[in-house]
Amino acid sequence: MFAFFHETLKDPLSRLADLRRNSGRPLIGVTPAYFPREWIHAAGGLPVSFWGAALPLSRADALLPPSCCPVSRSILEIELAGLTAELSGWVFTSLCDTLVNLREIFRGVSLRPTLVFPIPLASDPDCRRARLAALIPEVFEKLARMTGKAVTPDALAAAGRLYGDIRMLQRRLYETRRSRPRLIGARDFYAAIQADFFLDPAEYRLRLEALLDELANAAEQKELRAPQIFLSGMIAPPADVLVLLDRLGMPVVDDDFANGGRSVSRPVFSPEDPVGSLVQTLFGGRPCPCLHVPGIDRAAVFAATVRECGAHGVLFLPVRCCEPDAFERPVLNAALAAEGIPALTLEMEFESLPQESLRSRLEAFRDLLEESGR
Amino acid sequence: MTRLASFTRMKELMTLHYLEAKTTKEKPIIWLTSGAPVEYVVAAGALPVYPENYAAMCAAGHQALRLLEAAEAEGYSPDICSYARTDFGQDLLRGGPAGGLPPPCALVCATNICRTVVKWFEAVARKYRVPLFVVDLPFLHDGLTRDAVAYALRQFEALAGFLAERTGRPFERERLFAAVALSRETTALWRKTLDLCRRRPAPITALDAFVHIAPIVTLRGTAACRDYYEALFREIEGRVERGEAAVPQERYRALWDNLPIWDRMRWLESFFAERGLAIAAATYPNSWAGIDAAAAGSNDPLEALAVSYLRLYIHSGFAQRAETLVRLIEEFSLTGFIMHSNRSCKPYSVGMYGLREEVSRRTGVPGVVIEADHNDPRQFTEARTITALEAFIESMEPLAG
Ligand code: SF4
Ligand code: SF4
Repeated sequence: MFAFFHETLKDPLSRLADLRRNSGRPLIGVTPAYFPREWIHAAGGLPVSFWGAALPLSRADALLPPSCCPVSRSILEIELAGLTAELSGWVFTSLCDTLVNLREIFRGVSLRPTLVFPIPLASDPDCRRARLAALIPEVFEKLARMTGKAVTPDALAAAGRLYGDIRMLQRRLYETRRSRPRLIGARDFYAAIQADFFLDPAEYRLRLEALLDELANAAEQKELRAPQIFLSGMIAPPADVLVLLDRLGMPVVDDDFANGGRSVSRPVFSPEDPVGSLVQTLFGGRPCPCLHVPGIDRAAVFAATVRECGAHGVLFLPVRCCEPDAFERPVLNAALAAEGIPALTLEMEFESLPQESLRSRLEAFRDLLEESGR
Repeated sequence: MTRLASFTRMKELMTLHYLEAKTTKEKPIIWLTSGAPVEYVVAAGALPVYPENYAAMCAAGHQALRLLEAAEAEGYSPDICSYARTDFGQDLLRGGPAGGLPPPCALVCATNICRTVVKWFEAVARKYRVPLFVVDLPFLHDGLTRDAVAYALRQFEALAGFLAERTGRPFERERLFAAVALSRETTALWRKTLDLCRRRPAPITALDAFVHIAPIVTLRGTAACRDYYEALFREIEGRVERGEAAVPQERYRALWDNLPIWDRMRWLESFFAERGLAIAAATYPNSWAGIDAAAAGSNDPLEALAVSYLRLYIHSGFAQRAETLVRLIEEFSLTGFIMHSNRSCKPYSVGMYGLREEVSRRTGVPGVVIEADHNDPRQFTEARTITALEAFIESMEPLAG
């Protein structure tokens, strides 16, 4: 059922030329996170999302200090290694201090144009809205310069429908996992979600529909009794960690990754109410440590989400050196402790993860959850 | 540090400030970030308190390590900025020179230094259950824009409303204009003071400037602060007139980029002095030297304020940063520059390696990057730093005075 998605993720950079040719659209690289991809589509482009990759970091290391996260390092490495020659440009958001500066580094080293969509953080809601209202036409204009095609209301509406469908299908996939957690292995699940980053959206939509149809008739491995876990962090972990979870028989019931549950929970942009819908696109959905949303208690929302999805424990998978995420771990841990939900933290790299120690820590965590009757 | 009579006055000012903060019954305490528009807080009759300044005082007094460890024991990762960790630690242990900071009744945080401060102040807001007002000042990738100024001004208006609500008093615009006028005078004096280091030999070094920024960070917008910088300027001007050098036998002149290494100030001072190197300029102290310059382009004092808070070095695109570095190297007749790649401070440090190359290429003067941390002494490796700095000093030899 998942072969196509795995195939898509096998060396996706080598397929960018085909993607560009077959879609007839200029490819635009999207860095983390929350840039409305439907805007790129409406401007005649095709978004390709980069959330980091496992590759040797020889070139990026010369430009980034050791305290930079592996996500930013590997995105820079991809660019410096010339693996993105098919891209016509890059879009950034102002998600964290590292990405703000990474965009500046790209301007110096990349031959391609870059644009930034600065996500407002003002506490005052009217100021935020006014800022977004000013930013929308500005970003559209810059996108049009990148793709050579202006954003029209019709194109926006069509792109909104396409990406809205995808969002709904992904939500159905998440719901399927929540209601039948032993049906889909972690590696398969995230392949189905992440193939989205490197496919033509029309094709991805079809594939996802077909997958959901098949899953509706598939049988769950009921005999597996291992405790269910919730995954949390900025991004889904590398495939070898997911394989390990599958091997250890630890079903994942939900997550709040920025390239997973957090994005999937957000509505897509609607041109009918541009500012209002953009507020929802950015600040609605599962809270993200990179976005300041006054009045939202992320720890309370997090604990409630974990409880409601029936997870027995939480596995935090923070990206090394990700500061926004690090700030909230104590309060999330405290909220879980108050609910009596055990948690384990395993720091993530893309490369050279110590497999043996990961395995033993995960096994110990699974045993703990089993013993505690969870 | 250079022996200055003003140092005693500065200590007095800071002691009085923290004493007032710890004892006041009348003034509501508001915690701020160093780039927040404090003039509004002063005008509202509240007392501003800066955890960044306090964290720096802890590190300069070699008290940070215990506080960092306390924060880490609470689960705050070493990936978090060491100012924030020091602050969490002082709060847990009531540590540091003032025995901890007084609790805030509200928080004001501006994003013009980093986005880290938002996470930091969110954590404080959670702990003390107090409201947080974020002033979002967009990063200037391509210089100042009208939209950015309009966005800032709109938020300043909202901030006035927020403060009126928190203090329970109507916000008085006259008091705001008075505070802005004082800030303008103060920042202009600070600019003039820093500019005295264009002279050879430099009358003070940037290490002195780091020490003497405490009042301008903490007390700007007040007459006491303005008076202090007036006196400081006069004193250093006197040193220039008498030809008094901060570094005897000044041979080399360099710039320091990024925050200082607070815990190593004296060590660095002796290291540089022994080798005839005067750190004559730095980017960081300039952060509080801008309102007057911004005002030159505007008749509206609030617009000038917005521009000055938007146009910080650390908050600008790399083309602008390179321009600033090149200009400082030329105007201060520098023979080299030192870039402190600060593990904690990503907005300052990410991209520094490329900037070093560019600035060296454009100016023909050598630059060196040293890896350390402004507040976490565990990130400083003495042997590695000595090797890097000695090689750097050697590379300046052809330009030595
Ligand atoms: S992983 Fe964290 S630090 Fe890295 S780019 Fe994402 S938000 Fe920024
Ligand atoms: S040291 Fe850097 S990261 Fe830390 S608060 Fe200051 S500007 Fe932000």
